[in-house]
Amino acid sequence: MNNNFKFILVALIFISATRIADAQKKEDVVMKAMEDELSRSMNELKYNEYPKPFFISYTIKDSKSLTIVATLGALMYSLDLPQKTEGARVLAGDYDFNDESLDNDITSAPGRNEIDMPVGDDYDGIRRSMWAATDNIYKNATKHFQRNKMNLADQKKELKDIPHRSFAKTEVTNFVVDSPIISCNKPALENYVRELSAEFNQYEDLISTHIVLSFKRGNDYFANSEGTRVKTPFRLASLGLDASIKTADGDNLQAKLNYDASEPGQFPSTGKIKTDISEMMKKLLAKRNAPVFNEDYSGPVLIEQQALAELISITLFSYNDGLVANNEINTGNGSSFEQGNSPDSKIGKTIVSETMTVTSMPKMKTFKGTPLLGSFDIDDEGVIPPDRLILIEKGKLKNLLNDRTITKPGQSANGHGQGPGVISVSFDNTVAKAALKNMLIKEAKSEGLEYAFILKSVVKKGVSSVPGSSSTSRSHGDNEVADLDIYRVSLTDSSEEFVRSVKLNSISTKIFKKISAASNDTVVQQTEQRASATGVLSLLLPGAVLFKQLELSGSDKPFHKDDIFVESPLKKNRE
Amino acid sequence: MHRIKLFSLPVFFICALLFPHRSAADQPDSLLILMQSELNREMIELKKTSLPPYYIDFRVNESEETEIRSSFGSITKTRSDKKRILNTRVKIGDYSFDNSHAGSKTNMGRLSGFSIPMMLPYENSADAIRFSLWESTQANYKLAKEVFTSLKSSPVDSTDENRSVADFSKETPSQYYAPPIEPLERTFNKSGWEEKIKNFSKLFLVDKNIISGNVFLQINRERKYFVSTEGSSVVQNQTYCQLMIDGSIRADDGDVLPLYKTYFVLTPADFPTDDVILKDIHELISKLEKIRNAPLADPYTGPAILNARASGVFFHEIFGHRIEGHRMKDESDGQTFSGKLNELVLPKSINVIFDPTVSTYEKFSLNGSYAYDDEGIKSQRVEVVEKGILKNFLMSRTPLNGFLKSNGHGRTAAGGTPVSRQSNMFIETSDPLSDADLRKMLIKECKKQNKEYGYMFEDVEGGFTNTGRYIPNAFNIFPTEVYRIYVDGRPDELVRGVDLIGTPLTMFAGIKAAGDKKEIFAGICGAESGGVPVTAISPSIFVNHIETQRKVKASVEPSLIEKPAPADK
Repeated sequence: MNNNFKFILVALIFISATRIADAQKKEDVVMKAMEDELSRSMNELKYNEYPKPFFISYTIKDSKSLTIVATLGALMYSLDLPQKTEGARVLAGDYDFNDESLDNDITSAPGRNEIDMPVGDDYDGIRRSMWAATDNIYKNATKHFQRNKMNLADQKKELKDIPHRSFAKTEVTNFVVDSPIISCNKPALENYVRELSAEFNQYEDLISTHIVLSFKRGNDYFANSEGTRVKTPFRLASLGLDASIKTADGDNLQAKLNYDASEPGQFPSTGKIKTDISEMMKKLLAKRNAPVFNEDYSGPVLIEQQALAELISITLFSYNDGLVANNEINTGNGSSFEQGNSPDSKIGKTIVSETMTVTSMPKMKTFKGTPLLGSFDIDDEGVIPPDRLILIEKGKLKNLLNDRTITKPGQSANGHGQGPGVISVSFDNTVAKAALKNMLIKEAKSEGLEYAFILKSVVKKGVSSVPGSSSTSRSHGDNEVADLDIYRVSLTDSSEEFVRSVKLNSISTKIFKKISAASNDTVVQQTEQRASATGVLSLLLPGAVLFKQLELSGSDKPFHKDDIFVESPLKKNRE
Repeated sequence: MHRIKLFSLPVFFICALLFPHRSAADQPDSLLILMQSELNREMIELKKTSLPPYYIDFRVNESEETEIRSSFGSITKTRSDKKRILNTRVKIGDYSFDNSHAGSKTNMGRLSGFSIPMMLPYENSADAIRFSLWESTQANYKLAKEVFTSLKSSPVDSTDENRSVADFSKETPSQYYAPPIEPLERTFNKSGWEEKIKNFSKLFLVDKNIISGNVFLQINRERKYFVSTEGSSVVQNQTYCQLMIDGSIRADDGDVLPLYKTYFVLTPADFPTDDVILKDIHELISKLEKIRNAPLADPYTGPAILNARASGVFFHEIFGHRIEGHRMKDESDGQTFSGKLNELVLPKSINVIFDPTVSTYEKFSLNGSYAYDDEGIKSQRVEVVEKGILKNFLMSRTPLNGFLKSNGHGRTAAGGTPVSRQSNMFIETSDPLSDADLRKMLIKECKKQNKEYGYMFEDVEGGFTNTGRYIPNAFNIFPTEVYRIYVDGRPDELVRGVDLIGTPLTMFAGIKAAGDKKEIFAGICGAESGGVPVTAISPSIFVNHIETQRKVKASVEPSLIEKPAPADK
């Protein structure tokens, strides 16, 4: 996420009073269809001698997704696709013991008789689709519940004495924000992308470049048999620009710019982005002659805000790891979580530096005028989160982000069914940002090192991928980081020199154990985060943090020295 | 139990050629000019390298596609987009031995002939197009170089039969230019079709046992560009228009029984009238209801008639794939017909012809038609079997002993590498029999074999065959409508749960007669180079010995509560 991002202050989820009034007059077809089928299912579903379901919930994501891809001033792909996707949960048993309680096989495969969800607001079609899904899931749930009952009986133990999953009781909520799915001016956005991508035509050393604009908008619907009703609008626009060049020794250097906003209209002006492109390319081209790092380093590293945000996102908020509660239970089958690595087991223990505090503040909408794109008022299970939830306090793990699935004593549903939204990361030991570099040099000297490092930004894999191209799947830790923008700092004159081909080793929560100091400012960084409710994680964090000891080594990425066989057609002297 | 469900519908499509009637002397378009100039530049520059290519081609498939799906009266998908897929083929070595040489067992060698596809801008900005062509050439030259080096450095395999045959045939360059055809949006009323398709699929709501009722429309306008360093320059148009209707019904035992109806035309205006389509859907629903109550069939061996459509699929799967020339170079292939040239492989009365130059048959459009194949070779009529004797193979530019030239059957889906594939297959007989005579033959043969009944395969949904040699070289055809024909004169009996299985040579030997009426089976054939549109035009055939097995049976329980009634009732 680029910090130069210029946000325009707008109310993101509220529309004009007139539009609200209009929407209220018109019955919401999607919600009505969900409610009617939910009610009918709860009243009439009965499978042989088995009990009725005690809980049903329906989710519908009603969206339009625009994707525009261009290279060098020409469009490659442009599609605005309407889509509705549905989810259903049907539970047999009761809140304490049900079909999801005793093993980790808790999803129901689609049956042959399932019916696709309509694209439009089609009352009959939505009901048919939910009806077919409910029927299949309920049948599977009842069979599973009978199996669980037999398993429990076989174990001859009390439920409380074996690892199990229960379903949390929560308050009934009614949270409906009416907002139609906004349209977009596709030809204008195509021109915008075309114009920006043409900026790259002047760089004759490029070996690859693309621009991807995406704009996802729509409404999330949720209804359950307890009476909760939720309708919340979502809007997220992303603009990713990437460029690659090759060095004389065959190293591929890549640079990326990313902008996120609620709507494409809130992206920076084309003039500003063109300036950013120019700066990015200037910096990228300057890196061609940078030295290659081919040794090992263990010592202090100063990490600046963009890199810090990405590392926090990767280590603390990856799916089912870090500070997100894991829903797996120990069945004795030996997965890593079942072997005691579950984050739940660390509650009350010190897991990072005692100066570090992490707090979830999902409802926070802006910070010093900057809209927080990860903000949400209610989670995807209809649970309202608290205004503040302390996750780590002075290094000690206090809470995990959790949904309604309870796998450990002491857990509760805390309104984070779809992960983090707005997270504050702060440190007790702060100094002025300008002082951190001096501290870095001093620490390196005291360790007898020849130099120190400043990590300014990281490029994550799989961002802004071109549709149809092979995308890199995200996994945990090191594998998610594609490249580092890292500088070697002279301990004598404090000059900085970019170094190529550096790898940050062992990226995990452990890197936060030894923090020398953090800057005393607070900045906003917004990063793509698939585990978050909105797709974006908004982080409030210091502008830089000095890590006492990190390990760096030479990257193992291969260099291909002689694989430019023909000069690029962008070379102006080819004529 | 819970589920988040995403749309992931299978994509079926059918395709046909639209031959423009304008002169090929029209002004070439800017994409073609850019392709030619970049190809020339790349070749000139790569000639200066230590391992220069002897051949390069660029193939661009530009498609503009609309897809609409509906289910039980609801639109479930509607999408229109356009894109260009580029494939660059770089050949290093010479025609006799190059980086496509088959049979290598090294890791790089296994990539022989492979090329890396990529997206090309669909707008003709000179810098963007040239740059993408350059990027693709860089990547594919690098791959070709690595594969060629690996092949050359491998020890010479004395058992490599492919050494005696060239890897790439020498051909006369082609020149063909078809002017662009109208963009889809000017000729296609999308909203009107959405309404129609909704109404078509709504008919399936009539029966509570019908568990799926879908209509799928695909309209595709494709423009194909091909240029090569040999001097070929081919630009041609195709349109793909298919309306596919499918319904499935649940039997009392939980089995799920599907039926399909597909219309293939060149342009949306050529589809049958709504009345015809509605009538066909009513008939399909009525047939579903009959099949639902049909008895399950036990495995069977004995005589059978494959009606024309079923026979078309049979010939495509069991015969057609085995005369695709490149398979004769693949050591892992069963090569059923490798040593059978000029031998009797089918009854003396049968001829098999592949003809992509024909675009219609009895007013029906044929989707296995094309002017030039995907290697820029002019399409040709190929008589594969004459009077039962194998005379030819379908050839791409991968030569075989005795077949050193392509016969215009090098085909691929967008982004793939062309191999020999089928086109329009015509099964002809010199001794056609009426349906009644075929039936008499069936009953006579049943009596001879002491069978209570024979089988009539009326319709099929497709099938597959294995041509490799590591697992049995067998086939499986999936019939959707099968009848027992009783020898004692009882009425024909519809049955369900039957798959037609066997091995090719045994089955060919059992063909004893063919009918006097032909039908068309159009579909997309999937193989190594992706889905390509094909047609089989075949008469019914009488076979004295077939084998069936039980079809995989679904076990869908009845719904616990009724399908929600439409709100307007």
